[in-house]
Amino acid sequence: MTEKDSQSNAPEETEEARVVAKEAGVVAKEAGVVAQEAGVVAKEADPDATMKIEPKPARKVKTKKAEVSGHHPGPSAWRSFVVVWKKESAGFFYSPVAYIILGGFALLVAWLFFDQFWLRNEASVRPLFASMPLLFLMITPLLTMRSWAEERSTGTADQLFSLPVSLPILALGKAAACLGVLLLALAITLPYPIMAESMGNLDWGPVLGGYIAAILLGSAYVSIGLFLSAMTRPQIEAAFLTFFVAGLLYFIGEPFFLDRMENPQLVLMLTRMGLGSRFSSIARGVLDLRDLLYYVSITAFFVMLNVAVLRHRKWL
Amino acid sequence: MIHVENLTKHYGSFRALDSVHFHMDRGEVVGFLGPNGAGKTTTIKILTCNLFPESGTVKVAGFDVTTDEIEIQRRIGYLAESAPLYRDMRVREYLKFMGEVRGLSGARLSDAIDRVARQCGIVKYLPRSIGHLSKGFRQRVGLAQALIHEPEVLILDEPYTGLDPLQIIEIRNLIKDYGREHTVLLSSHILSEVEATCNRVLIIHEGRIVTDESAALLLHQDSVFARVIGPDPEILAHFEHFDKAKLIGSHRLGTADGVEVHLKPEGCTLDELATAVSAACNAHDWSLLYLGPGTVTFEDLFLQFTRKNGVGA
Repeated sequence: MTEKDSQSNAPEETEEARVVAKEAGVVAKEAGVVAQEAGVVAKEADPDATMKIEPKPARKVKTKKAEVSGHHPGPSAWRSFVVVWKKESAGFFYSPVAYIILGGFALLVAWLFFDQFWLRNEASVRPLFASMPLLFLMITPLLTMRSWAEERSTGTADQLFSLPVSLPILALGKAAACLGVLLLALAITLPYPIMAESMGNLDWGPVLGGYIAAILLGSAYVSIGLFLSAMTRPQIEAAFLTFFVAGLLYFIGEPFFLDRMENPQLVLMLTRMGLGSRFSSIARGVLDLRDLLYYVSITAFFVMLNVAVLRHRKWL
Repeated sequence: MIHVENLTKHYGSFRALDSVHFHMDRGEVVGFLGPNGAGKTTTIKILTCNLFPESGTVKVAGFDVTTDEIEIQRRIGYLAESAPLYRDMRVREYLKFMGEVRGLSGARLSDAIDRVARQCGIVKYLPRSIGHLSKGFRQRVGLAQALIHEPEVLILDEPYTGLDPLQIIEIRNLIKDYGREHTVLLSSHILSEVEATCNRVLIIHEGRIVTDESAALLLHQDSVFARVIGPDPEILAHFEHFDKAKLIGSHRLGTADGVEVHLKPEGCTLDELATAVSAACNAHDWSLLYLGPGTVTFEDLFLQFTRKNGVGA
């Protein structure tokens, strides 16, 4: 994806994305946070523009014409995306799974915060954000595992793939729903920075950066998880694979792994590739366009792989 | 409405479909008949753009399945085999999703939900969770979903499984009605259902269409049905090589009850065939318990066509 693309789409995408962010139940009091999150969601939605791997611009034009003149006006791509996203999001809350995941997450977060608070007598959210990559690594596989695997094992995939919704839209709808649950998880952590501020002065820069970094990392994890869910049939297999693959991509950039390496070039390369190393720089409050692009392209790459797998399966 | 030409598909080295060819127009209800594994579901998956054809041309509502998936998918209603539904959803919620995804909203959507719920007899079940419904009602919800956007083409994979006889009659009438102005393709391996619903029948066997005829034509074959008591093997052997007729069906009832044979005249009239059968029984000293006009059942037809084209026959 080029920077130009994202900029040209930004205004309307952001507006729509803001609706998504709000509907996802992000009760962010700070308007800035909402805006930032919306911006990221817009980035998320953006790969759609470039995702159609098959070169068919001509067909796109034809479809639009048919929508105007034909008596079968299909829903717009955006509308389809929202419908799929709503269905997928609701799917999380029929069973207790999402509540259990969010509950577990809330407990861990509380422990991380209060451990610091009581033991070191320090109201800091730094350890909270520092452990966010690991926390997300634990909960994301549980969120994404069922997405495709369940559709395939119950046979609903046959029904789903007969609907007039393109594969990229389906994949993005599912991704947005998983990301929505991660946003809810982040919303759970909002009281802590507020608490920290009331007890001392808090630098909101790193907090904001921490949230942005968490969302970016979360979307990368989600796209990896969805891709692997499309590859497997048993959900548990999808979860474990996601844990390992996303974990591997995270750990190759971490100091405890790199410390044992001698070759400085290799260390630099792995640091750049690792999912976590860029996380810490954003979480420090340093927003670099390259870091942003890194996460967006990782996400786009796995979403495209996901679509490619689904499409390939039609040829089998 | 549906046009299939030279359609071939392999799963690995297994040939699932072998130059399948058929055509359907608006206002036709076509039964797709075949034993399990004959290629019915594969064909249906290709028509619904779940699978791409390996070779050949497949057009639905004038659009090609390989280039215009979305256009086709807008115009079809599809009930997949054994009605896979989201079990956690409530019926109304599910129908709402299926309607919205096809572009219905607002009053049009709620009207459509009411309409299909009435048609499929699930009005009372709208607030219920799909997972709690019996097999028959899940099947109805699946059908309701396929009808919600009044598709030009309705494709139903085994729509009658799990329904009780009363439900079968209701659904059959619904499908017949719908087929008057639209196009319906339904698959089944239960012959009587196809017989009662469809005006045309495609029999598929080992990936090939072995017959494509109107149901009425298939059933109006002149034939003779006889029940003969005597030594079974001899009777069967005799009628299998009967010079005036072709044996299109036979059934051994056990020694005391005799053998049923179903014969189609070849080069003679029904009268002549009947006389020949009775003469043969007299000559061999077999007792002829019944001799009358034969009704061709789909079972007979099915055996007849699949045997003719089968590998080991």
